[in-house]
Amino acid sequence: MDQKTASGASLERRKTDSRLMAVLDTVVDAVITIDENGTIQSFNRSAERIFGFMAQEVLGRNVNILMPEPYHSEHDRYLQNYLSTGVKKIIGIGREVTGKRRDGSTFPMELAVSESWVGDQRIFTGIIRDITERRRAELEREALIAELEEKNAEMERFTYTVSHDLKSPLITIRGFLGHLEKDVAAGNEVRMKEDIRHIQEAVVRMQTLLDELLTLSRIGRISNPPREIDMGELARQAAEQVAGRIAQGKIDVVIAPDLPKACGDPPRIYEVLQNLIDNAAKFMGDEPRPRIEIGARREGTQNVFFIRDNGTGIDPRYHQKIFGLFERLDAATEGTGIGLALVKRIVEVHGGRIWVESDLGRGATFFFTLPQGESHGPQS
Amino acid sequence: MDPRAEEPLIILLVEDNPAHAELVKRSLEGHPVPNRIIHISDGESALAYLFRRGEFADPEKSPRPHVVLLDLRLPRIDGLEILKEIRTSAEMEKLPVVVLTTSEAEMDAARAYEYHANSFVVKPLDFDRFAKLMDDLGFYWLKWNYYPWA
Repeated sequence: MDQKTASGASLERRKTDSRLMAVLDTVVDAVITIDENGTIQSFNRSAERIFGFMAQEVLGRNVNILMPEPYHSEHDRYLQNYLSTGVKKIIGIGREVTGKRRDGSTFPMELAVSESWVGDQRIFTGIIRDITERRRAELEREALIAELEEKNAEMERFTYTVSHDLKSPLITIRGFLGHLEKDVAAGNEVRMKEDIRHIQEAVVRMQTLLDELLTLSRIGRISNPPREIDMGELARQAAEQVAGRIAQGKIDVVIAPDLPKACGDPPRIYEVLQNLIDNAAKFMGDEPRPRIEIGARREGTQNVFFIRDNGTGIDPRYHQKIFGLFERLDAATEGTGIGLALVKRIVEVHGGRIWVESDLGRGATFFFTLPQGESHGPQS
Repeated sequence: MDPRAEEPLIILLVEDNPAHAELVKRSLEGHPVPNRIIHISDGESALAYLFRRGEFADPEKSPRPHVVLLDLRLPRIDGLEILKEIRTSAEMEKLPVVVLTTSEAEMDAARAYEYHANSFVVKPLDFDRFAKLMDDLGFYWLKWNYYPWA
């Protein structure tokens, strides 16, 4: 072989090398090669971008600097295991693992490892794709599916209960019309009055149900632009609205003077407060010193508002159930079982949470969170 | 025949709607077969009655019913739940339970039978049909049906 052809071959080799380097440096995936000891031998541009290290910072270092614990500490052992047993855990298979960036943050990644020989030297090539976006999209999709399923189930419950609860007063009306006819014929005035009372009650009940259903159906749709709400003032107005029941029960209503501001759709939040105050007054039982307290406390970064009463309380078994549509714990107490479902929906449309803490006979406290006064408004 | 034919047969009516309970009571009050209706308006109390808990502990005051007329949508504990409890209890698994409900949902009927309801009856809207149904139910469960333990 003369000089000329030898330099021609090396020129060819250099050309091939630089072509390969160009390819490696422009692929979207990170490509990293290591030797048998786990020492990084090459680190392409995408690897630099994904891990935040420059190639010269990592070349010659152990590849485990790109891994969070426990892999960081165990990688050497994995490698030794493979070298001594030949059992492949990841080579040729590819899997989703967690990578660690230069700043210590971690991210989900897809890793494919292949093994090759260059002369008598064994190298492992890892091809890495950052799947943060994909994972985020997956989570988002799962959340959406769950939300849709929940909506569907709610819709089913809705049609079921509507058909049941609207049919119920109709049975009453037709039944007592029939009795009325008979009682008129028999001249039984006492019963006639009773028949008419049942019919009237059923009619009122149907009307209330229809009104409340309409209100409920509006919650998801209409949203006035969120505004800053003076919760103290709104609570006073809401308490005013149920003043009749409060006076009747001789109930002491105490509104904390320093209620923080919230952000939301004022008429809706008004409905929340009014429903909760009305409920508290309704389930006062025969408490000698009935009292309703409206206040707030700070929990982490959130303001938690509460309406506390010292009334009959709610058995913990029913703490979830009471927020269900048309659920009523007491057949004798007036109400359609829509109030708390409405309250829950309003709070959730605003991005808040609502829950109750109570024991039978020890009063009940309803808590809810709302976006803060200065923050962004309700989620649409 | 029932050896205690002269004694009224006892019906436990589990119904949260007071007007509907009144309709049932009125339909059965003129019934030729002597009967006594015990009305309970929520699921929790119904179980307390059947299992003689709390205020219903005294068997004299809270006699075992011959038949239960059970509404499905009840406050606190729902009708199917009550049925399930009845069927899983050794002393009451054979108690005749007639589901009497506003619901025409197939799911409800299927589940009621799954828990061994003896019958599933939908309350008719029409007054005459309602009266006829109660009349028939009365005859069937109070007169024709044989109770080995009565």
